[in-house]
Amino acid sequence: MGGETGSHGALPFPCEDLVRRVFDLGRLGAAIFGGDRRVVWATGLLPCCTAAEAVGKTCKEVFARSDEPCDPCLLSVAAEEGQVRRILRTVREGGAPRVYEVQVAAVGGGGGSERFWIELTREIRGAEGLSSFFHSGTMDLVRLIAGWSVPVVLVDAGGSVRAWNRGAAALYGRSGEDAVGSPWTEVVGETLLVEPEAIPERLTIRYEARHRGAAGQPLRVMVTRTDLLTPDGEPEGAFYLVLDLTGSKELERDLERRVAQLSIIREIAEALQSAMGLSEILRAILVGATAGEGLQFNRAFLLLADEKRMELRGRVAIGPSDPDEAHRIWDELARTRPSLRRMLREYEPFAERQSSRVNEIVRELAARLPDGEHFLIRALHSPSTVRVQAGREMPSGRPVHPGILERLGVRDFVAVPLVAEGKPVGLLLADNAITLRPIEDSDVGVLELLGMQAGLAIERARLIGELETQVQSLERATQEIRGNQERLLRTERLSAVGEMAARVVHEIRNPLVAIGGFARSLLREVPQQDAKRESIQIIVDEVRRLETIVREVLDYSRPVAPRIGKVNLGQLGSEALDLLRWEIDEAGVVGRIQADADAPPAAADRNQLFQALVNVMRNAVHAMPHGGSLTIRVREVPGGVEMAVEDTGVGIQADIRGKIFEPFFTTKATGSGLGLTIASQILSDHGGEIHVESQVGSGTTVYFRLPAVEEEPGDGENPGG
Amino acid sequence: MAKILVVEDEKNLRLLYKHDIEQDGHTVVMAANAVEGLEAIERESPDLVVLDIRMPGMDGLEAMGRILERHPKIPVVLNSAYSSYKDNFMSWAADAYIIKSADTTELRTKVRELLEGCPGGPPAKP
Repeated sequence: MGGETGSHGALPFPCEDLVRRVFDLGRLGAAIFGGDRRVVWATGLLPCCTAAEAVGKTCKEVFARSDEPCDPCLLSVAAEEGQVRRILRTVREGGAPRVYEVQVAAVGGGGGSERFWIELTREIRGAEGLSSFFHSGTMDLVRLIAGWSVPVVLVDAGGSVRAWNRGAAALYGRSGEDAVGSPWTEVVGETLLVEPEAIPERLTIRYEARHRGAAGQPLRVMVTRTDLLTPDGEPEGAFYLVLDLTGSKELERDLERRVAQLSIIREIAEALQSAMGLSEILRAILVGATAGEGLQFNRAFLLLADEKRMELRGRVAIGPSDPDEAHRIWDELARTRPSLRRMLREYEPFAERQSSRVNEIVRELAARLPDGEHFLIRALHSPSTVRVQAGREMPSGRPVHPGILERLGVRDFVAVPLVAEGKPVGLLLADNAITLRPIEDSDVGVLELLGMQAGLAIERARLIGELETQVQSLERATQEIRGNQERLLRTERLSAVGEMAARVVHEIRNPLVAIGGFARSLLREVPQQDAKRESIQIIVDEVRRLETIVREVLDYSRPVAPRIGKVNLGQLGSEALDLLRWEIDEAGVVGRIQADADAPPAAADRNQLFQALVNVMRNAVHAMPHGGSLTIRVREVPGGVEMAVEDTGVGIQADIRGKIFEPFFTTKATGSGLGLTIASQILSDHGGEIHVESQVGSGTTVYFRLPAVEEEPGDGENPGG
Repeated sequence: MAKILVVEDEKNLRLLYKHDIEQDGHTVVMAANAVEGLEAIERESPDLVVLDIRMPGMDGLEAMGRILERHPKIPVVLNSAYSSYKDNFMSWAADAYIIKSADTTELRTKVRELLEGCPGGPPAKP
């Protein structure tokens, strides 16, 4: 034994030749280590040196230039575990790394016999080596990577997938068999997002890209790519490590959207605060519901509760009628990107352009407030937003009336009650009729925030409207009062002026009479031919002119008589009694009044009637020089009211009873005889009458009859009214 | 012909009336105020009295009342610059109410009528 055939050392096994050939055939380098962990036999394909040189070297010396740590020591591990271990070792010689696959197996040993390890090495070249590395399930590292949930993909120099781990299969939804062989960019559907960031020393670049996920959904990823080079420095392929950022990216985007929504809410809230008119407020609410980044809702409808008419009625809406219109508008919005303020300002033309159809729809939406079963009314009183999905209320599942769904033309929408101080004032409906985008919770949340502001603003507008109405009527009333005051002042002033004028004019009369009178007299005495005649005539003429003016002025300012008002006869009687109190007491007369409570007031000139009454009462007192009783009675009679003045005096004798109303008829030594005449004149002026009943020795009663005051506009003629 | 008493507080007017009425052939007695007038009635027994209303002290209406108490049949002509007394019932007792004018024709006509016994009576109400 022992031939020189390319290996050295004594193989402790027979058939060395055979073994050697096997190894050479497989292009495997092999070294057998003894218990002292030194090479006892080696072939010529070892990385360190020739076979002869290798004998006696330690494992580490065989891979002397290896920069891999020997931890754990393969030989030890193989011995302990009794398994074949496989590992990649990179050996650098002169800068170019070379990769070797090393397998170690423990052979022999046990029972005190010598232990041997066989170490087989093979240089890995090219893709074949790499893929075989990947497909091998027995090496821990590979197993680890293969089973990793982090996607790792091996791609060859041509850009085609060579290996595909479990993470990649899960993320991209394709099995290894499916993926291997296809171009990497196609398999993952890559579009670059950010310029790759290079990390030079480690042949690694990192970049962000968009990939296509298992369900076809867009993924936002961070890719780390490590290039693999051959020992000669040729690119051999690359590792791709993929980090799925989609989740966090979505969070980021969600956050951005929420921030944008909040700023919109703030802008709308500001607009609502400053808007006074109801139409401005409604405008702001609708724009707020539909405006915003990407348009939160496509369409919004506003219904307001009208307590007076007891109904909930659609007032105004905003939104495109169809997709074409929608795209036109949204393209323009994207182009011009108006601020919210501008949108509010330009609402009218904005609304007109798009809204006729939605406004038709909203005007058809109505319900009577007491109708508790109606969907709109239930939504109005709901404590929170009502979501309708597929035509059913959520979460109860109660179907929404098909009439409403038909009018709106959608089966998914939300209804937000607008509340002010616990009382619902309106309802806001919103949907995505054009984009058909599913309504998300965050959208609803924003709408609810808007709704809170809106309810308050609407109520405020209503109160302001009422306040304005009140203020207006107060202003009108104030103006009237002021007008009346001024008129009163003017009248007083005028009347004062008038009084003064009248007095002055009266005083002028006397001198005029003297001047004119004597001038006339002169005229009569001066002969016809006398030249003086002309001068005197002038004086006469001018005086006549002045007299005319005086007469006209005084005629104009003469008061009208009598002035009819409401006179309470009982009160009048009391006042007369008061006036004559002294005379009554002096005469020892007892005066009293008996007035019916339901006697109507008389239509009369108070002063004149008072004068008449006092005259009659004086007569009565004079008829009772030795005392007696004077009673005034007031009662209602058909056609008016009657006041009677009754005394217990001497009475009037029959033969003179007819004459008592004649002027200057008096039986008294000191009487003008005019009292009753005047009284009778007054009564007839008033459309009333006076008559007397008397009995000598018992007394006299004088009756006044007067028309009563016409109360409300009657339903018939009132005679003597 | 007749004796006319003129009660008027303004001197010039007294003169005028005296002048004019005397031209009609009557005798004119004058008084400057109501009290003088009352005395003059008792003293002179005139056939007609022309009374001014606005006078210092007692006014013409009250004076008329007193005159008529004593002499209910004597014609009284109220002669005033003021028309407002026409609304006063007292004035209805007079036989005539003349508004003073430089043209004394109306006054003198009324005086003649009353003296001739024409139906006087209270003048038409205003």
